[in-house]
Amino acid sequence: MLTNQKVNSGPNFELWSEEQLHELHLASLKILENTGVVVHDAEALKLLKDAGAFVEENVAKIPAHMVEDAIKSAPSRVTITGLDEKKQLNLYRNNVYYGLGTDLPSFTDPYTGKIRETVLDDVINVGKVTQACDNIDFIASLGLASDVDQRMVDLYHLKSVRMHCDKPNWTTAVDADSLKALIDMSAVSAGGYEELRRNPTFGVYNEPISPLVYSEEAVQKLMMCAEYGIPSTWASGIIAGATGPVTLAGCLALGNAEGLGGLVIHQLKRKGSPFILGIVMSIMDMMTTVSSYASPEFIMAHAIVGQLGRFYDIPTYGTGGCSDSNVLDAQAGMEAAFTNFTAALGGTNLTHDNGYLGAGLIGSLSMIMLDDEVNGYIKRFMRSVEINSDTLALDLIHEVGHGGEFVSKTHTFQNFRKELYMPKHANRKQYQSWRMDGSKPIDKVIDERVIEIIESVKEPLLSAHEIQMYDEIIGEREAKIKVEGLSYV
Amino acid sequence: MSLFGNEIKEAIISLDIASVGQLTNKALADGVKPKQILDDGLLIGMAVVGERFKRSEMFVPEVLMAAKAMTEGLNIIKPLLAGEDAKGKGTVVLGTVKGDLHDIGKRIVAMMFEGAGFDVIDLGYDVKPEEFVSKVKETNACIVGMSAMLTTTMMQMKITVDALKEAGLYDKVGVMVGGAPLTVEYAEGIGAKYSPDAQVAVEVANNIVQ
Ligand code: B12
Repeated sequence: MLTNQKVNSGPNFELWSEEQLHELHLASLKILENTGVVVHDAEALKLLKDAGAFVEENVAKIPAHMVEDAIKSAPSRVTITGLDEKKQLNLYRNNVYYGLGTDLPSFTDPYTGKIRETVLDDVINVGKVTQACDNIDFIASLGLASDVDQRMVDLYHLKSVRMHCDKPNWTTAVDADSLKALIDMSAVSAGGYEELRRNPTFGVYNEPISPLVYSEEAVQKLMMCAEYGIPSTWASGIIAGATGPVTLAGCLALGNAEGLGGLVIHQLKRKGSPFILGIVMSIMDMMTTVSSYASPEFIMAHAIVGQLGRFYDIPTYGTGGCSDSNVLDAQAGMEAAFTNFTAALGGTNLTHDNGYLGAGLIGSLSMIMLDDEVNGYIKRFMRSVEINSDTLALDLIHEVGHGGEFVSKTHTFQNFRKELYMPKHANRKQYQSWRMDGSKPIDKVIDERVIEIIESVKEPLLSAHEIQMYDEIIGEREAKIKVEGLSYV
Repeated sequence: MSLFGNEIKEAIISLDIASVGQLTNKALADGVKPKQILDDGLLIGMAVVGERFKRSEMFVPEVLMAAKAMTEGLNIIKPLLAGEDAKGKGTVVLGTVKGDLHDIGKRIVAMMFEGAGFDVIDLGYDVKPEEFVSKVKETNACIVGMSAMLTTTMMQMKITVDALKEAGLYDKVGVMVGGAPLTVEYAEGIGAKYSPDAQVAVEVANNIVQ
């Protein structure tokens, strides 16, 4: 009888102890209670006031019990399901998924490598490439198409990425009206609003303005998500040393306070609605003022968010697979690996921004493919090394004995695919055969595969009916914008 | 260079705010001309800081602290400067354009401009074209700077430039623009000068007023 057996089926990473998480939690509660948040929305202010917050003009000071109630009522598991319902994100505790980020104004042209304005065709290609990457679990627009009406760019994006990709969607919304249209489009594919609520197919990136300001537009989108059961974040894009303290703990406490304040509004609007906790905390580079997407501090902050999510038992938002480099070079590779690997260690459930170059300004199809490979390595690593009588293979070792070989054995044949990760793009050829193959570095290899994919995929995955309905919804919105003569924002 | 000037310069470089004030008062008491304190002490100190920033020996928070130190001295001598000297480098009107809530980049630019000796009026964010125009008119500004971080708000810059033209102010004021989605080409297209960051912005502004 074996007793007290403890098995590690992967690493047990912990940056902070539970005591430290608790200290952060109390600090965030104090910020919400003492300083409060500015809320530029009448309905949200009323919800807060009626539930016991101290509201003066548009500053709401939120007592701890309200925050703790919201933490309790938020679901501990959130799902986002693809149009192919087998592709489902089950966001809870240590279940980590990777996907893209949204809205990059510049894009790397797949043919010329030139960095230029993003167009809608790029977003369509994002769908094609992402569909081909089995280690990218969810999709977002990656680019911000400049060649369509910006007041409804999110609708074009959703249609375009869904054209060739049936994975779960992550998106921003231009405003509440546009969000309603995104919901309408998704209800078409889901077969109704109740179906969409039970099985949401997309989630929305909503955010406060650091420090401690909630804009009207963003709060309305947050509340609409709650109302329709569409998963939403309220992840502060706080920048240490610029919009938050340079000391990382203080910046996290502030970012967390901003997030929790949003959670309170969200849960007051509709208790039990799906929420994704996040702090997309970066640092400002003190030489260039750029808000870095891959600094070691950024990575630690996200690891703490993962822990915080388990502390609250609420799914979390992560960031990874992104780089400050403007091209797919050695730096991009290093940062893609570092950010995605630590996202896995930190256990952030919905890890977005794969495919991001140029510190959040440049999209790249090849970066998606590189991240796909990075994630393959990580997934293998996280399955760890299994030890049991079968994997120890003592009989085989004895049978082969001294000086034999293993390559031709049935045991090898039966196990190698499971045990070994087969790289998709990384080079393992030795120099002479690599040279005979054209001496291609990995970025060149990937660039060529990208072209193969975008040229070979033709048939849309959306049905003719869906396309027609999507176009109708987009058309209605277009007409409405024209009639109302809405300004750009 | 004069002894007091050197001391004030050193105090700025070592980010010693209190000493800059004390040394400035002392120099005045010793009969040194305000204009001389400005040129030989305060501005030279900031110029050295600017150089070190460029060489990555000093960083943004240190540059902003040096700017504070300089302002400490400047505030003391400002009322004493006469005629042409009192004008300083001129007034800059700054703001983030209509519909855009991104703020921190423009704030950093504002602080850097102050450090470079400009008078800065920061109109905040979500600033309408007519607000830029009326402030430029009211203050006789030499530069107007606009920030936009969204492709949806970028065209507010062109609208503002057009409004400046309409008001007959465009030829009297240097128009500067910045923000993540902008390009040199876009800026040139609307008749404005582009800066990718606050450091370059100071150089561009200095060129405009020279
Ligand atoms: C922080 C941030 C926010 C914060 C801003 C908080 C604040 N107090 O400012 C918040 C959360 C509010 C925010 C909101 C949104 N954001 Co935002 N945001 C950012 C982020 C991550 C960093 C910007 C930043 O502060 N950088 C640090 C500062 C110091 O640098 P900087 O702003 O570039 O400024 C420097 C230079 O540009 C220059 N400069 C700037 N202005 C000026 C002006 C003059 C005159 C001069 C000379 C120079 C100059 O000098 C500055 C100092 O060196 C960027 C990503 C990025 N890479 O830029 C996205 C980004 C700008 N946001 C983006 C988006 C899409 C949004 C939202 C629409 C998201 C949404 N759906 O809700 C909203 C829009 C809200 C609104 N109506 O404005 C996109 C923009 C895409 C586009 N081109 O249209 C970006 C690029 C991120 C992305 N790829 O998705 N955001």
